[in-house]
Amino acid sequence: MDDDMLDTLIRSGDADTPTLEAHAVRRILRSARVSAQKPKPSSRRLLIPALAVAGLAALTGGAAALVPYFTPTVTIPIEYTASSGEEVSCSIYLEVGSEAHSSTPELRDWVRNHDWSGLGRQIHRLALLNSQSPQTTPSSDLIDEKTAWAAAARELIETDLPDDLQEGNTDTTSTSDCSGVL
Amino acid sequence: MMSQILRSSEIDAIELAFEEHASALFGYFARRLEQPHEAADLLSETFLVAWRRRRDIKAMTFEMRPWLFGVARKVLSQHRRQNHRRHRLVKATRETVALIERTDSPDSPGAEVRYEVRRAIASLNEMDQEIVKMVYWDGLSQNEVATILKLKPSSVRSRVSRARSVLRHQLAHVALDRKRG
Repeated sequence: MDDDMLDTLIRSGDADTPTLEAHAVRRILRSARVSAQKPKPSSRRLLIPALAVAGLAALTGGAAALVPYFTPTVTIPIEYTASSGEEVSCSIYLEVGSEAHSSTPELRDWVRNHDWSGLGRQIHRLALLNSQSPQTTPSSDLIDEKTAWAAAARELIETDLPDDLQEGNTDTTSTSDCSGVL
Repeated sequence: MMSQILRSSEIDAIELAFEEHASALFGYFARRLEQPHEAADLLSETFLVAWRRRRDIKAMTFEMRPWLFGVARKVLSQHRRQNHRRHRLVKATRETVALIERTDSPDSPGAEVRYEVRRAIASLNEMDQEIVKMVYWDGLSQNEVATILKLKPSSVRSRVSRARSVLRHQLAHVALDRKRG
């Protein structure tokens, strides 16, 4: 069987998928927009607790390395170029459950083996947006750099974690020696 | 197209982008769910999430499609997890056979081939199944699939290649029957 025939065969496995007409798309858009503009319920579970970021002094060459107060499941290297051009290199320490906690071994393994490369740049990019755009909270206040950085880190790590390994309330702890400089 | 979107108001931008990809996203859900009405529900949920994260969208203008599919994947996963809680006892069996059960009636043209192809795809591991479906059925590029699944592009390429080898072997008899006509 040549490549073209194989490709054709594989594509033919897609049975006639229902299509969505334009008016249905518009109706869904309208109803979703109305729902989105209502206040967001506050019941969303935060898997990663508030991530502490170090003071700006930690960026200086002589700053002592942070020693986490727990045994990290993984130490995530964070590297990015700050808006000033400074190359930032620091770490996020993440503990998922405890070694004695039997319900989270898959998640711990996943966290250990996951490719976290590029996370620093993603955090920086999202934190810049969060700090420069009016927030969707009623106060519409701008948030400071450190808060934006920590929120971005938490959001991106949570987004990376596979949903199917997050059954129940997973006990997590995190800290960082990153300054949150943008 | 995208520069036009960026010049539009925020509402117009997100709605234009969503309209552009709504059919593909609906197809994504419809292929993976047993009830078409669920696909419409999850499409709506995807737009809801996209709307709430509209600032991210503005930052990722050149990766809009994989970003939306990534949101859709999360929404689908959440939906399945909720179903899992409701139907914990039957989920494993249902997921295993869902792909095959969605084939057309045996009498429809091409139904037998579709059955064979779906059965062959169902024999792949879960990640390879998803990659094959995304590339061949959802029409995503391998780079887009890598972005959505948070894999390296080289990993997706090698998985596609491996899956094709398996499928080529498993579908050899189907190809032969087609040639004989």
